[in-house]
Amino acid sequence: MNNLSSVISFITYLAFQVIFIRHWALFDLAFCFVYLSFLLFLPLQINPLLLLLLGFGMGFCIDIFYDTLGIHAACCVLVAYMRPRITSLIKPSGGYDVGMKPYLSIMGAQWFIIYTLLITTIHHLPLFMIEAWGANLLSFTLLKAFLSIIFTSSVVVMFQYLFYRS
Amino acid sequence: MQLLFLFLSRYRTFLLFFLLEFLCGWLIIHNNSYQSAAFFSSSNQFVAYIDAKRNYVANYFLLPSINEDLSRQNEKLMSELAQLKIERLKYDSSFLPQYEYLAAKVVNNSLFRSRNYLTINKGKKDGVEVGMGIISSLGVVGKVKAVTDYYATVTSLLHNEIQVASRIKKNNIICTTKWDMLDYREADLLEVGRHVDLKVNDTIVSSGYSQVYPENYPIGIVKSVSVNKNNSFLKVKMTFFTDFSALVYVYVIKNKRQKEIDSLQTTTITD
Repeated sequence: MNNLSSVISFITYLAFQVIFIRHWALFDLAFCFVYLSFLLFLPLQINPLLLLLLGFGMGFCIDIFYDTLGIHAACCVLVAYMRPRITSLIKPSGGYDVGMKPYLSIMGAQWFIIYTLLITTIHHLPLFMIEAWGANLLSFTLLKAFLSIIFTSSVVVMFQYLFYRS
Repeated sequence: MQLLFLFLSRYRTFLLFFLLEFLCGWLIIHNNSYQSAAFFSSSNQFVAYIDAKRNYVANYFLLPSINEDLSRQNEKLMSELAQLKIERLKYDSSFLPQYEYLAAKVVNNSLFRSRNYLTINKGKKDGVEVGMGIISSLGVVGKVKAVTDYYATVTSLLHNEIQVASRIKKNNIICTTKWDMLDYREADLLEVGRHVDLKVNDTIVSSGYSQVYPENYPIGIVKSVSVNKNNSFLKVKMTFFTDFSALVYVYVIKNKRQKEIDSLQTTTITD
Protein backbone atom coordinates (compact mmCIF):
# COMPACT_ATOMS: atom_id res chain seq x y z
CA MET A 1 0.00 0.00 0.00
CA ASN A 2 2.83 2.29 0.94
CA ASN A 3 4.61 1.48 -2.31
CA LEU A 4 1.50 2.25 -4.30
CA SER A 5 1.06 5.64 -2.67
CA SER A 6 4.72 6.41 -3.38
CA VAL A 7 4.23 5.59 -7.05
CA ILE A 8 1.12 7.75 -7.20
CA SER A 9 2.88 10.67 -5.55
CA PHE A 10 5.86 10.27 -7.93
CA ILE A 11 3.59 10.53 -10.96
CA THR A 12 1.46 13.31 -9.49
CA TYR A 13 4.41 15.54 -8.62
CA LEU A 14 6.10 14.87 -11.95
CA ALA A 15 2.95 15.69 -13.91
CA PHE A 16 2.15 18.73 -11.80
CA GLN A 17 5.67 20.07 -12.24
CA VAL A 18 5.93 19.63 -16.00
CA ILE A 19 2.37 20.54 -16.94
CA PHE A 20 1.63 23.48 -14.67
CA ILE A 21 4.67 24.80 -12.86
CA ARG A 22 7.28 24.56 -15.60
CA HIS A 23 6.36 27.92 -17.02
CA TRP A 24 6.05 29.80 -13.77
CA ALA A 25 8.69 32.47 -13.26
CA LEU A 26 8.10 35.15 -10.66
CA PHE A 27 9.62 38.46 -11.82
CA ASP A 28 11.47 36.43 -14.49
CA LEU A 29 13.84 35.39 -11.69
CA ALA A 30 12.31 32.93 -9.25
CA PHE A 31 11.42 29.38 -10.30
CA CYS A 32 9.48 26.73 -8.50
CA PHE A 33 10.70 23.13 -8.40
CA VAL A 34 7.96 21.71 -6.24
CA TYR A 35 8.61 18.16 -7.48
CA LEU A 36 11.22 18.18 -4.73
CA SER A 37 8.32 17.53 -2.33
CA PHE A 38 8.34 13.96 -3.54
CA LEU A 39 11.81 13.42 -2.08
CA LEU A 40 11.03 15.55 0.97
CA PHE A 41 7.92 13.65 2.04
CA LEU A 42 9.19 10.08 1.70
CA PRO A 43 9.19 8.22 5.06
CA LEU A 44 12.09 8.99 7.40
CA GLN A 45 13.23 5.37 7.74
CA ILE A 46 13.42 4.71 4.01
CA ASN A 47 16.35 2.64 2.76
CA PRO A 48 19.08 5.12 1.70
CA LEU A 49 19.85 3.12 -1.45
CA LEU A 50 16.21 3.20 -2.53
CA LEU A 51 16.11 6.93 -1.76
CA LEU A 52 19.10 7.52 -4.05
CA LEU A 53 17.53 5.55 -6.89
CA LEU A 54 14.19 7.36 -6.50
CA GLY A 55 16.03 10.69 -6.51
CA PHE A 56 17.82 9.78 -9.69
CA GLY A 57 14.60 8.57 -11.33
CA MET A 58 12.69 11.74 -10.47
CA GLY A 59 15.52 14.04 -11.57
CA PHE A 60 15.96 12.12 -14.81
CA CYS A 61 12.25 12.35 -15.71
CA ILE A 62 12.24 16.09 -14.98
CA ASP A 63 15.34 16.50 -17.12
CA ILE A 64 13.67 14.95 -20.13
CA PHE A 65 10.94 17.57 -20.00
CA TYR A 66 13.29 20.45 -19.23
CA ASP A 67 15.87 19.47 -21.89
CA THR A 68 18.60 19.59 -19.26
CA LEU A 69 19.73 15.98 -19.32
CA GLY A 70 21.62 15.14 -16.11
CA ILE A 71 21.35 18.45 -14.27
CA HIS A 72 18.20 17.84 -12.23
CA ALA A 73 19.19 14.20 -11.77
CA ALA A 74 22.55 15.24 -10.30
CA CYS A 75 20.93 17.66 -7.85
CA CYS A 76 18.22 15.17 -6.83
CA VAL A 77 20.80 12.46 -6.16
CA LEU A 78 22.69 14.97 -4.00
CA VAL A 79 19.48 15.73 -2.10
CA ALA A 80 18.75 12.02 -1.64
CA TYR A 81 22.26 11.47 -0.32
CA MET A 82 22.14 14.40 2.09
CA ARG A 83 18.59 13.85 3.40
CA PRO A 84 19.41 11.23 6.07
CA ARG A 85 22.32 13.42 7.25
CA ILE A 86 20.08 16.44 7.54
CA THR A 87 17.32 14.64 9.38
CA SER A 88 19.83 13.31 11.92
CA LEU A 89 21.35 16.80 12.23
CA ILE A 90 18.04 18.41 13.17
CA LYS A 91 16.74 15.45 15.18
CA PRO A 92 14.33 16.49 17.93
CA SER A 93 15.43 15.60 21.51
CA GLY A 94 13.21 12.50 21.64
CA GLY A 95 14.46 11.10 18.32
CA TYR A 96 12.17 9.87 15.56
CA ASP A 97 9.46 7.27 16.07
CA VAL A 98 9.26 4.22 13.83
CA GLY A 99 7.26 4.85 10.67
CA MET A 100 7.28 8.62 11.16
CA LYS A 101 6.82 10.79 8.11
CA PRO A 102 8.43 14.21 7.69
CA TYR A 103 5.14 16.13 7.55
CA LEU A 104 4.47 19.53 9.01
CA SER A 105 1.51 18.28 11.02
CA ILE A 106 3.65 15.59 12.65
CA MET A 107 7.00 17.29 13.06
CA GLY A 108 5.88 20.84 13.84
CA ALA A 109 6.32 24.02 11.81
CA GLN A 110 9.78 24.98 13.03
CA TRP A 111 11.36 21.61 12.28
CA PHE A 112 9.62 21.37 8.92
CA ILE A 113 10.65 24.83 7.70
CA ILE A 114 14.30 24.31 8.62
CA TYR A 115 14.21 20.91 6.93
CA THR A 116 12.64 22.32 3.76
CA LEU A 117 14.99 25.28 3.54
CA LEU A 118 18.08 23.10 3.97
CA ILE A 119 16.98 20.58 1.33
CA THR A 120 15.91 23.21 -1.19
CA THR A 121 19.22 25.02 -0.76
CA ILE A 122 21.14 21.81 -1.38
CA HIS A 123 19.08 21.26 -4.51
CA HIS A 124 18.86 24.78 -5.97
CA LEU A 125 22.40 26.09 -5.49
CA PRO A 126 24.13 23.38 -7.55
CA LEU A 127 21.21 23.39 -10.00
CA PHE A 128 21.64 27.04 -10.93
CA MET A 129 25.42 26.85 -10.84
CA ILE A 130 25.56 23.88 -13.23
CA GLU A 131 22.92 25.43 -15.42
CA ALA A 132 24.86 28.72 -15.77
CA TRP A 133 27.97 26.63 -16.49
CA GLY A 134 30.59 29.12 -15.38
CA ALA A 135 31.28 31.92 -12.96
CA ASN A 136 30.42 34.92 -15.11
CA LEU A 137 27.11 36.44 -14.05
CA LEU A 138 27.70 34.74 -10.69
CA SER A 139 25.77 37.30 -8.69
CA PHE A 140 22.83 37.02 -11.09
CA THR A 141 22.86 33.23 -10.76
CA LEU A 142 23.01 33.43 -6.97
CA LEU A 143 20.14 35.90 -6.93
CA LYS A 144 18.04 33.53 -9.06
CA ALA A 145 18.95 30.62 -6.79
CA PHE A 146 18.15 32.55 -3.62
CA LEU A 147 14.75 33.75 -4.84
CA SER A 148 13.90 30.30 -6.15
CA ILE A 149 14.76 28.72 -2.79
CA ILE A 150 12.25 31.02 -1.12
CA PHE A 151 9.65 30.42 -3.83
CA THR A 152 9.93 26.63 -3.82
CA SER A 153 10.01 26.41 0.00
CA SER A 154 6.90 28.55 0.30
CA VAL A 155 5.01 26.37 -2.15
CA VAL A 156 6.17 23.20 -0.36
CA VAL A 157 4.95 24.55 2.99
CA MET A 158 1.68 25.64 1.37
CA PHE A 159 1.22 22.11 0.00
CA GLN A 160 1.64 20.76 3.51
CA TYR A 161 -1.12 22.99 4.82
CA LEU A 162 -3.38 22.18 1.87
CA PHE A 163 -3.00 18.44 1.33
CA TYR A 164 -1.27 16.87 4.33
CA ARG A 165 -3.35 18.09 7.25
CA SER A 166 -3.77 15.57 10.01
CA MET B 1 38.38 -10.57 -0.47
CA GLN B 2 36.23 -10.53 2.64
CA LEU B 3 37.61 -7.10 3.46
CA LEU B 4 36.59 -5.90 0.05
CA PHE B 5 33.01 -7.07 0.54
CA LEU B 6 32.97 -5.53 3.99
CA PHE B 7 34.18 -2.26 2.52
CA LEU B 8 31.60 -2.41 -0.28
CA SER B 9 28.72 -3.09 2.08
CA ARG B 10 29.77 -0.47 4.58
CA TYR B 11 30.08 2.27 1.99
CA ARG B 12 27.33 1.08 -0.33
CA THR B 13 25.28 4.27 0.02
CA PHE B 14 28.23 6.47 -0.74
CA LEU B 15 29.32 4.27 -3.62
CA LEU B 16 25.87 4.33 -5.19
CA PHE B 17 25.73 8.09 -4.65
CA PHE B 18 29.11 8.48 -6.32
CA LEU B 19 28.12 6.21 -9.20
CA LEU B 20 24.86 8.07 -9.87
CA GLU B 21 26.51 11.48 -9.70
CA PHE B 22 29.18 10.24 -12.09
CA LEU B 23 26.46 9.09 -14.47
CA CYS B 24 24.73 12.49 -14.21
CA GLY B 25 27.99 14.32 -14.87
CA TRP B 26 28.58 12.16 -17.91
CA LEU B 27 25.02 12.85 -19.14
CA ILE B 28 25.44 16.61 -18.72
CA ILE B 29 28.71 16.72 -20.62
CA HIS B 30 27.66 14.22 -23.24
CA ASN B 31 24.40 16.02 -23.91
CA ASN B 32 26.14 19.35 -24.28
CA SER B 33 28.66 18.20 -26.83
CA TYR B 34 26.54 15.86 -28.93
CA GLN B 35 23.34 16.84 -30.63
CA SER B 36 22.06 13.33 -31.10
CA ALA B 37 20.31 12.74 -27.79
CA ALA B 38 16.93 13.27 -29.38
CA PHE B 39 15.30 10.46 -27.48
CA PHE B 40 15.85 11.97 -24.03
CA SER B 41 14.81 15.46 -24.99
CA SER B 42 11.55 17.28 -25.49
CA SER B 43 11.26 16.08 -29.09
CA ASN B 44 10.62 12.60 -27.72
CA GLN B 45 7.16 11.54 -28.96
CA PHE B 46 5.54 11.07 -25.57
CA VAL B 47 6.97 14.23 -24.05
CA ALA B 48 6.02 16.26 -27.09
CA TYR B 49 2.53 14.78 -27.04
CA ILE B 50 2.00 16.01 -23.48
CA ASP B 51 3.41 19.40 -24.40
CA ALA B 52 1.13 19.61 -27.42
CA LYS B 53 -1.97 18.82 -25.31
CA ARG B 54 -0.96 21.37 -22.70
CA ASN B 55 -0.39 23.91 -25.41
CA TYR B 56 -3.75 23.23 -26.99
CA VAL B 57 -5.43 24.54 -23.85
CA ALA B 58 -2.99 27.35 -23.16
CA ASN B 59 -3.28 28.70 -26.71
CA TYR B 60 -6.86 29.83 -26.24
CA PHE B 61 -5.55 32.58 -24.05
CA LEU B 62 -3.14 33.71 -26.74
CA LEU B 63 -5.67 33.98 -29.57
CA PRO B 64 -5.85 37.79 -29.67
CA SER B 65 -2.13 38.18 -30.13
CA ILE B 66 -2.04 35.36 -32.69
CA ASN B 67 -4.70 37.10 -34.74
CA GLU B 68 -2.79 40.32 -34.61
CA ASP B 69 0.38 38.56 -35.64
CA LEU B 70 -1.31 36.82 -38.58
CA SER B 71 -3.00 39.91 -39.84
CA ARG B 72 0.27 41.82 -39.75
CA GLN B 73 1.86 39.02 -41.69
CA ASN B 74 -0.93 39.05 -44.26
CA GLU B 75 -0.45 42.73 -44.67
CA LYS B 76 3.24 42.27 -45.32
CA LEU B 77 2.65 39.48 -47.83
CA MET B 78 0.06 41.46 -49.71
CA SER B 79 2.34 44.43 -50.00
CA GLU B 80 5.11 42.18 -51.27
CA LEU B 81 2.75 40.63 -53.80
CA ALA B 82 1.75 44.05 -55.03
CA GLN B 83 5.38 45.02 -55.36
CA LEU B 84 6.09 41.89 -57.38
CA LYS B 85 3.17 42.51 -59.69
CA ILE B 86 4.55 45.91 -60.48
CA GLU B 87 8.08 44.82 -61.05
CA ARG B 88 7.33 41.64 -63.05
CA LEU B 89 10.80 40.26 -62.68
CA LYS B 90 12.38 38.69 -65.73
CA TYR B 91 12.84 34.97 -65.51
CA ASP B 92 16.35 34.25 -64.36
CA SER B 93 17.76 31.32 -62.38
CA SER B 94 19.08 33.63 -59.68
CA PHE B 95 15.54 34.78 -59.04
CA LEU B 96 14.25 31.27 -58.48
CA PRO B 97 13.35 30.99 -54.85
CA GLN B 98 16.32 29.59 -52.95
CA TYR B 99 14.42 29.03 -49.71
CA GLU B 100 11.30 27.06 -48.96
CA TYR B 101 9.25 27.84 -45.88
CA LEU B 102 7.41 25.31 -43.78
CA ALA B 103 4.97 26.59 -41.16
CA ALA B 104 5.18 24.92 -37.73
CA LYS B 105 3.56 25.41 -34.38
CA VAL B 106 5.53 25.87 -31.18
CA VAL B 107 4.45 23.31 -28.59
CA ASN B 108 6.99 24.11 -25.91
CA ASN B 109 9.22 27.07 -25.21
CA SER B 110 11.54 28.28 -22.47
CA LEU B 111 12.89 31.76 -21.74
CA PHE B 112 14.64 31.99 -18.44
CA ARG B 113 17.47 29.52 -18.57
CA SER B 114 20.92 30.12 -19.96
CA ARG B 115 20.23 27.54 -22.68
CA ASN B 116 16.72 27.83 -24.01
CA TYR B 117 15.03 25.46 -26.43
CA LEU B 118 11.68 25.25 -28.15
CA THR B 119 9.84 22.27 -29.56
CA ILE B 120 7.90 22.46 -32.83
CA ASN B 121 5.32 20.10 -34.31
CA LYS B 122 7.14 19.34 -37.55
CA GLY B 123 9.77 16.60 -37.85
CA LYS B 124 11.65 14.25 -40.12
CA LYS B 125 8.45 13.21 -41.94
CA ASP B 126 7.91 16.83 -42.96
CA GLY B 127 11.47 17.16 -44.20
CA VAL B 128 12.93 18.98 -41.21
CA GLU B 129 16.64 18.33 -40.76
CA VAL B 130 19.18 19.17 -38.06
CA GLY B 131 20.78 22.56 -38.70
CA MET B 132 17.84 24.21 -40.49
CA GLY B 133 17.00 27.76 -39.52
CA ILE B 134 13.79 28.82 -37.78
CA ILE B 135 12.20 32.26 -38.20
CA SER B 136 8.99 33.87 -37.05
CA SER B 137 7.09 36.41 -39.07
CA LEU B 138 8.89 39.12 -37.11
CA GLY B 139 12.47 37.90 -37.01
CA VAL B 140 15.02 35.15 -36.57
CA VAL B 141 14.21 32.53 -33.91
CA GLY B 142 16.82 29.75 -33.88
CA LYS B 143 18.21 26.59 -35.36
CA VAL B 144 17.04 22.94 -35.34
CA LYS B 145 18.97 20.87 -32.80
CA ALA B 146 17.35 17.43 -32.99
CA VAL B 147 14.49 15.84 -34.95
CA THR B 148 12.21 12.88 -34.46
CA ASP B 149 9.51 11.73 -36.86
CA TYR B 150 6.91 14.34 -35.97
CA TYR B 151 8.65 16.87 -33.75
CA ALA B 152 11.87 18.86 -33.60
CA THR B 153 13.81 20.55 -30.82
CA VAL B 154 15.08 24.00 -31.71
CA THR B 155 17.96 25.84 -30.07
CA SER B 156 16.57 29.33 -29.64
CA LEU B 157 18.63 32.50 -30.03
CA LEU B 158 18.32 32.65 -26.23
CA HIS B 159 21.22 30.24 -25.82
CA ASN B 160 24.66 31.11 -24.54
CA GLU B 161 26.43 29.38 -27.41
CA ILE B 162 24.39 30.62 -30.37
CA GLN B 163 25.66 33.46 -32.53
CA VAL B 164 24.06 34.83 -35.67
CA ALA B 165 26.00 36.30 -38.58
CA SER B 166 24.37 39.71 -38.93
CA ARG B 167 24.75 43.02 -40.70
CA ILE B 168 23.68 46.59 -40.14
CA LYS B 169 20.93 47.18 -42.65
CA LYS B 170 21.73 50.75 -43.64
CA ASN B 171 25.44 50.33 -44.44
CA ASN B 172 25.89 46.54 -44.82
CA ILE B 173 28.63 46.33 -42.20
CA ILE B 174 28.80 42.80 -40.79
CA CYS B 175 28.60 42.00 -37.11
CA THR B 176 27.51 39.18 -34.77
CA THR B 177 24.39 38.88 -32.64
CA LYS B 178 24.66 37.06 -29.32
CA TRP B 179 22.12 36.86 -26.50
CA ASP B 180 23.13 38.78 -23.35
CA MET B 181 21.82 35.97 -21.08
CA LEU B 182 20.01 38.44 -18.84
CA ASP B 183 16.76 39.30 -20.57
CA TYR B 184 14.86 37.37 -23.24
CA ARG B 185 14.12 40.59 -25.08
CA GLU B 186 17.69 41.76 -25.55
CA ALA B 187 20.98 40.77 -27.17
CA ASP B 188 24.50 42.11 -27.58
CA LEU B 189 25.90 43.10 -30.94
CA LEU B 190 29.53 42.05 -31.18
CA GLU B 191 32.40 43.00 -33.46
CA VAL B 192 31.18 46.46 -34.42
CA GLY B 193 34.26 48.69 -34.79
CA ARG B 194 34.36 52.11 -33.12
CA HIS B 195 34.50 53.87 -36.48
CA VAL B 196 31.15 52.43 -37.56
CA ASP B 197 28.25 54.84 -37.78
CA LEU B 198 25.62 53.07 -35.67
CA LYS B 199 22.70 54.84 -34.06
CA VAL B 200 19.85 53.88 -31.78
CA ASN B 201 16.90 52.42 -33.77
CA ASP B 202 19.10 51.12 -36.61
CA THR B 203 17.85 47.76 -37.87
CA ILE B 204 20.02 44.63 -37.68
CA VAL B 205 19.38 41.89 -40.24
CA SER B 206 20.89 38.49 -40.96
CA SER B 207 23.84 38.52 -43.33
CA GLY B 208 22.97 35.19 -44.91
CA TYR B 209 26.62 34.12 -44.84
CA SER B 210 25.84 31.10 -42.70
CA GLN B 211 23.17 29.97 -45.23
CA VAL B 212 20.92 29.08 -42.29
CA TYR B 213 18.75 32.19 -42.45
CA PRO B 214 17.77 34.07 -45.60
CA GLU B 215 19.73 37.20 -46.31
CA ASN B 216 18.39 40.47 -44.88
CA TYR B 217 15.89 38.83 -42.56
CA PRO B 218 15.26 41.11 -39.56
CA ILE B 219 16.79 40.23 -36.18
CA GLY B 220 16.45 43.28 -33.99
CA ILE B 221 16.73 46.98 -33.47
CA VAL B 222 19.57 48.84 -31.73
CA LYS B 223 18.62 49.94 -28.23
CA SER B 224 21.79 51.61 -26.97
CA VAL B 225 25.32 52.28 -28.22
CA SER B 226 28.26 53.14 -25.97
CA VAL B 227 32.00 53.39 -26.46
CA ASN B 228 34.14 51.01 -24.46
CA LYS B 229 37.45 52.72 -23.61
CA ASN B 230 39.57 49.58 -23.35
CA ASN B 231 38.22 47.99 -26.46
CA SER B 232 38.26 48.74 -30.15
CA PHE B 233 34.64 47.64 -30.51
CA LEU B 234 31.44 49.46 -29.64
CA LYS B 235 29.25 48.14 -26.85
CA VAL B 236 25.83 47.69 -28.44
CA LYS B 237 22.57 46.44 -26.97
CA MET B 238 19.73 45.46 -29.26
CA THR B 239 16.10 44.45 -28.85
CA PHE B 240 14.85 41.34 -30.67
CA PHE B 241 12.00 41.80 -33.13
CA THR B 242 10.74 38.36 -32.19
CA ASP B 243 8.83 38.26 -28.95
CA PHE B 244 10.09 34.93 -27.60
CA SER B 245 7.50 34.96 -24.84
CA ALA B 246 4.63 34.83 -27.33
CA LEU B 247 5.91 32.51 -30.05
CA VAL B 248 3.13 30.45 -31.58
CA TYR B 249 3.79 29.95 -35.29
CA VAL B 250 7.25 29.74 -36.77
CA TYR B 251 8.69 28.83 -40.17
CA VAL B 252 11.32 26.20 -40.86
CA ILE B 253 13.68 27.28 -43.63
CA LYS B 254 14.84 24.75 -46.17
CA ASN B 255 17.75 26.03 -48.19
CA LYS B 256 17.48 24.30 -51.54
CA ARG B 257 21.06 25.16 -52.44
CA GLN B 258 22.61 24.10 -49.13
CA LYS B 259 24.27 21.01 -50.61
CA GLU B 260 25.66 22.93 -53.54
CA ILE B 261 27.11 25.65 -51.32
CA ASP B 262 28.50 23.12 -48.84
CA SER B 263 30.26 21.11 -51.52
CA LEU B 264 31.70 24.29 -53.04
CA GLN B 265 33.01 25.39 -49.65
CA THR B 266 34.52 21.97 -48.92
CA THR B 267 36.35 22.09 -52.25
CA THR B 268 37.82 25.45 -51.36
CA ILE B 269 38.95 24.17 -47.99
CA THR B 270 40.67 21.08 -49.40
CA ASP B 271 42.51 23.28 -51.90
